[in-house]
Amino acid sequence: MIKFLIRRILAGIPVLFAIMLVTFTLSHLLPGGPFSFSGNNRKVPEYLVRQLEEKFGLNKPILFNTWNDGYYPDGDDWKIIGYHTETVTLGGTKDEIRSKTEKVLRVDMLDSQFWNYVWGVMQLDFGPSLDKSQRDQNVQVSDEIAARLPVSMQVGLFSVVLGFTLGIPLGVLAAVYHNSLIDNVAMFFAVLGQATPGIVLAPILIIVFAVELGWVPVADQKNVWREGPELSLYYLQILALPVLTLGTGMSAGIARLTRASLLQVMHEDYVRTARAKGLRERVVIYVHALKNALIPVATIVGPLLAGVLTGTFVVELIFVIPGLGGAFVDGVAGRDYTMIMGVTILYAIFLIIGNILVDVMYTWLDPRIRFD
Amino acid sequence: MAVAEDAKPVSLSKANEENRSTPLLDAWKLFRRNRGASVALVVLSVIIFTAFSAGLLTRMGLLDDRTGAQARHTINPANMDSQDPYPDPGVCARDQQDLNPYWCSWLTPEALVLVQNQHCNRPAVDLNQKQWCYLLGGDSAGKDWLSQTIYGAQVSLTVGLVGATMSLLVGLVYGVVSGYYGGRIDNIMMRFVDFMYGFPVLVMIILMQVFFTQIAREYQDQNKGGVVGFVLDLNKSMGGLLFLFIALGALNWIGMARQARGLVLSYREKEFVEAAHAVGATDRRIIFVHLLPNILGPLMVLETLAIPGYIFTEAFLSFIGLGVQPGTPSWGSMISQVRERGGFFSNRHVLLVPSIALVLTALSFNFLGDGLRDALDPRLRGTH
Repeated sequence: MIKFLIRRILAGIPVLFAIMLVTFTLSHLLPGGPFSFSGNNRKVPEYLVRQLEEKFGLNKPILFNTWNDGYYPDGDDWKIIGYHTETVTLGGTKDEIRSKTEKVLRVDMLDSQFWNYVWGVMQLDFGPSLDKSQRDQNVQVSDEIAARLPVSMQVGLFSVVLGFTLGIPLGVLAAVYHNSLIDNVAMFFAVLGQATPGIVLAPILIIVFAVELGWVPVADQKNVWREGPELSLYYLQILALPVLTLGTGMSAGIARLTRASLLQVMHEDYVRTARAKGLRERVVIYVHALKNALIPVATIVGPLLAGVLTGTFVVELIFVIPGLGGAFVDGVAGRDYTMIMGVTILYAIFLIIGNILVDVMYTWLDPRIRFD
Repeated sequence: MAVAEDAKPVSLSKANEENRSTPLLDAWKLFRRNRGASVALVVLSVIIFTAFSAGLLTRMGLLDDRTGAQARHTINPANMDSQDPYPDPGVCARDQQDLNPYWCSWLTPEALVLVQNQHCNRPAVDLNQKQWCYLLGGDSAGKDWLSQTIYGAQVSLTVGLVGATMSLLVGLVYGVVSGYYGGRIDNIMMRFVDFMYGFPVLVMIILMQVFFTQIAREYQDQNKGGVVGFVLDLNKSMGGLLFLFIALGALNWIGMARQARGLVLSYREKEFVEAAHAVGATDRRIIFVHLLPNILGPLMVLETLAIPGYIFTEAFLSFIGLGVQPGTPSWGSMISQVRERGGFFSNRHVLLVPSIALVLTALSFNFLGDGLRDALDPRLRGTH
């Protein structure tokens, strides 16, 4: 098991590296740069852009520093890769040599933006944010992410909890009353929930609960997201709509999965044995069948959490939540390379861990499965 | 005697009926038995038919054209038959009061003023020229929401169907090759799939779309030659859909490849494949005659159930302005338009139009997929 875990984690490293490479290349291929426009969307003069680029190291070549790039800063840790002799002759004849300069070509192939970034990441330094409102304050990407991740986590965790507390009972109900009216109604709502995307559900929830009924504020006014969970009515009000938006879709999927899994388990031999022992139907279902039926349901927690964290863009946009999704979208819009990279790496790590978690859950919940 | 003579034709006709039942016919029977799926099929057919006859409807003068320009105004009634092509009680006359409630009450206040200025107070309005009405309302720029929704359906359905087809084709080829040949090929191909599994799909799609839309915008007016120019032109004529297909297709085949491989692995060990091997069938024959018909059904079911996902992704991308080109109607951009103009607070019905369209389409595909699963997935036969 430990061996399996270590192997999986090690296998994640090249994936992470590839993701970094692809994201880095893609984001740098985008036209325009982080310094093209100032805070009030005015064009920044060329010399200022150069200064800023030098300050943040963006004047370096993107992937590899070759001698063709013409970037030769002074420094001691440079490798001598060759000598270049340049002779200036008079009148084109070789005999009258005016001057002869010999240049030492020193180059460090890896002194490029990408490899510097990778080196930084290895030391857990994700660089300063290049956002126009943040670069002057020297805001680090890691600090910004540390401030925003808990916000996304709150939404994600609570919606996963809601998804399970709503989905499992619904699925069990549908399976127990299989092929009855209850089953049909429950499954219809489950399909409806799956067929309703966030961009549809969120506006409708806002209109009904925030605008019409006025039960909850439309957007957070008191900066409650950043200050973290607190036990107050206001916090619950703010939390309600985003969590409902994400949670209902999730609960729909969980309900269908629970139902299918429970129906399958009901045909197993041990359920028949339990019935033959004369146990009450309730005990058979809730003690013998449900326990095993929940295995496939439990294993989706990992990808669900990862998916919810990466899938909160819509909700964060519509409900004006200062989470990671907003940081990513803003970063892309403002060509904030370091922020794009930081958020993408974080998402990728979550995804990889989520995938590993599924396999671990399988072995943990079902002792018949082994990884060797 | 008489009994035996009676029995003979009966048994014959029974045999005939048995002969007539093919796997597809069986599937169709099973499919028809699922009422939800049948309804979904009808709804989807209506949606698809409406969406792809939008060009015809525009030419008939029933819809505005794609850009929102009022095609119905350009029709000269003199050229048409004497009878009124679109008799609507909400026809607004020159008089401002007459523009009131009927159809036009669906309009936003500012749009109402706009329309009034445009049509009713316009000095040289020909009374013969019919005014248009908004069956499902309009936005503040005076665009007819019904036309926009129908054009949006074109975008959504195309994205869903093309996305599913691409994912199915690539995933199928990849999975079948990997699963059938096995061994080292399988190992390498599946390591690559595992590798791609770590990519955050939505993030990558967003990045690619930002890149593509920027490139498209940059070369909007320039004529670039060669392959790049051709691709850019094609994308432009498709309203930005080509790049969307590429972005969606780049990562979405992975799950399908895994499924296809799993199915091939399970069927490869079955007796009928072994028998085919024993009588000396070629690999090609085994794959196309013995394996594909068996695995295609379950994979098509999975793809049908995945179509709402593609449609949602497109809607979301258009919602944040990274989907179709601006000016191309799409359900996602319609919702974002309403949101940007403060539509959550007033004038809510216009939000409902693209929302209901999205949900209805996704719902139909879900029910259709369930019905197809009952009909096409032999593993599940008899369990429900």
